[in-house]
Amino acid sequence: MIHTCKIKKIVFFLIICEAVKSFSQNKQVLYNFAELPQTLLLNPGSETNYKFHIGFPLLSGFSTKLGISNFVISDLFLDDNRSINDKVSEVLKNVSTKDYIESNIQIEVLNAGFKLNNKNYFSFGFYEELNGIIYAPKDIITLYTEGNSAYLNKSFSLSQISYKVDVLGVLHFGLTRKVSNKLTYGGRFKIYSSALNIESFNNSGTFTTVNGSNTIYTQYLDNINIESRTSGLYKDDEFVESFKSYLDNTFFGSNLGVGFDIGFTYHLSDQIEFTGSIIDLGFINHKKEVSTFSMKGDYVFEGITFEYDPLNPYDYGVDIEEDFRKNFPLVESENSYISWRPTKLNTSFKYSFGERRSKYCYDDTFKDFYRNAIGFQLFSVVRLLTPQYALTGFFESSFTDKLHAKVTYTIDNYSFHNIGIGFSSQIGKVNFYGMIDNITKLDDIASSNSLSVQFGINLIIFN
Amino acid sequence: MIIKKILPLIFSFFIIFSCTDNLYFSQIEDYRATPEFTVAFISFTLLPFQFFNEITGNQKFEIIEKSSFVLAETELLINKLVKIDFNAEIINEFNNDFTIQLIFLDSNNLLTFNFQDITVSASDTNFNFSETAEVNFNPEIKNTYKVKMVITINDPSTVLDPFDLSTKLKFKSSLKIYFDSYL
Repeated sequence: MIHTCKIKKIVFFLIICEAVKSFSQNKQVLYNFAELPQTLLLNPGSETNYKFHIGFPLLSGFSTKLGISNFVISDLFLDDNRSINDKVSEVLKNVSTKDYIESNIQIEVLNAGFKLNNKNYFSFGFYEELNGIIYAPKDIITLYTEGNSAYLNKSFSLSQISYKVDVLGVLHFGLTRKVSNKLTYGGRFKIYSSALNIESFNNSGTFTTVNGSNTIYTQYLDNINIESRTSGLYKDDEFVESFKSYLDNTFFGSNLGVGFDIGFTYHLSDQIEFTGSIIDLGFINHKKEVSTFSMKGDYVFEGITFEYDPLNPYDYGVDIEEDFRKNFPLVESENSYISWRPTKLNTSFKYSFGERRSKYCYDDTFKDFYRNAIGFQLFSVVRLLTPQYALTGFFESSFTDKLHAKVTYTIDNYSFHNIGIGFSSQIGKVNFYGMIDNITKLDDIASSNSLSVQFGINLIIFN
Repeated sequence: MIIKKILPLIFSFFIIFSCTDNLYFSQIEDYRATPEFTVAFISFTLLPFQFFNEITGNQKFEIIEKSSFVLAETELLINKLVKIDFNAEIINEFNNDFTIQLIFLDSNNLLTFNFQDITVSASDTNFNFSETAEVNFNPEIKNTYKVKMVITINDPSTVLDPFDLSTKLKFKSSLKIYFDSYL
């Protein structure tokens, strides 16, 4: 059973997420950068140039991105002696129902790989991921904060209820095949283990209050069709609060799924490179600890109409409630359901130029590379309402064959001027990398719409 | 809980890696939602024959109707209740004065709130009434489980015509329910 206070906790969590942060899954600085092992998770067809790699457990890859569309943290939480109610109202006025908050945190527990032979590189690992999105349900928030009294004749849309939160572990195995000096492609098989899924989308219906004829007001629930699904949130009708329970379920828990990544790198010439990948084409089948509820129907409420008929006495309130339940049933079930992963698409075009150098490769050969490169990347992710896009221009420079840097300029839903920087450095067999975007807002992230960071440490063996 | 562990991690991360203006997150605790919900309440249309006993045929001077009724479905909501505005619009086509009593009762039929008597003069076809019930001063109102309405013909010498189908007493009402909630 879903209790009101528990729903309140979830809603509060989602609101906090909305108020505080937003993560997107675009890793524009990391993508196709410096042949890092982590680029294989963004494109299994990325080129590799080493014999073996292993990430430092829990430290090889941490990524997160902060972003908020149409308002910033300081709009709400700046210590400016303004009423918090006024600030919330102002923010609500500015956001639209298309505005959303995304969240994504990814922590690699294990990431390793090795050359099978001259053509094939096998990589595998396990990472934990928190991923969520909530669209701004303006009408619902208005109802909660103001009620319906000031909004006669307004249809409050329940279709604005749209959210999805996932906590999962991902075990993955990938193979990258170098077909020729021009073409490398690869694929990755993923086993998802869901610890938590909360989702509701494709809802419909309106709630309207109008002046009535026989009554002062008439209220309509029109074409209501709402469904909410959860798995992992309740066990034996109890709210799961233990962090350990969630963590345990991320590794071969009861709710499993499968997915694939595919990608390629193609050199049109020595200097021109084209890449593409599709990530997380998959689903999770939720079978255990499932709780879903749905409401469907229409209802017209005109209050209580007293008949003053002593020959047919009945309880009007009970009659109304029964009629409501009949026309507008709340259906709860524990039936299994499938949730789709947010599939991502990456493409890039890169032109290399400048001083030509050579670097040592795993097979005792040398690979030529240019010191500099410019290009652009396009990122897209399939979301509940509409796909999201990000276009990135970038400049890469290799100071030596061990030290690489990348600067990006990204246009996305959050900003038209997001500048990111990244570096990768190899010291002996240890590789360090780090990247951050929206650096122009680093002096005041509370006034920033987005910020992302990735960093990690790997052990990379070239021979 | 997982959320409690993740949020500090995220906050710590941004504190370490960035600078911010002076932020004061605790101010969210001061956020007050004060929604006002308007709903249709009781309505009826009375004809003269309804003032006659259906078995004996004798005229009655008082008729009563009751219904179960709650101001809010959950205890959580009930505890946020601060005020109720009751509004009524009445058309009295009778040549008689009426008194209408609206009474809230708990599940044991004990009084939780008694609205002022509504006295409608004869032939008053545009009578409006409103009354506010403050929950602070009438905390029992939160235990309301039933509503009772008593309609009385004020002049006991009145004689009505049970076959008159054109004279009506029309009543319609609404409630405006005020809540006050901190996050």
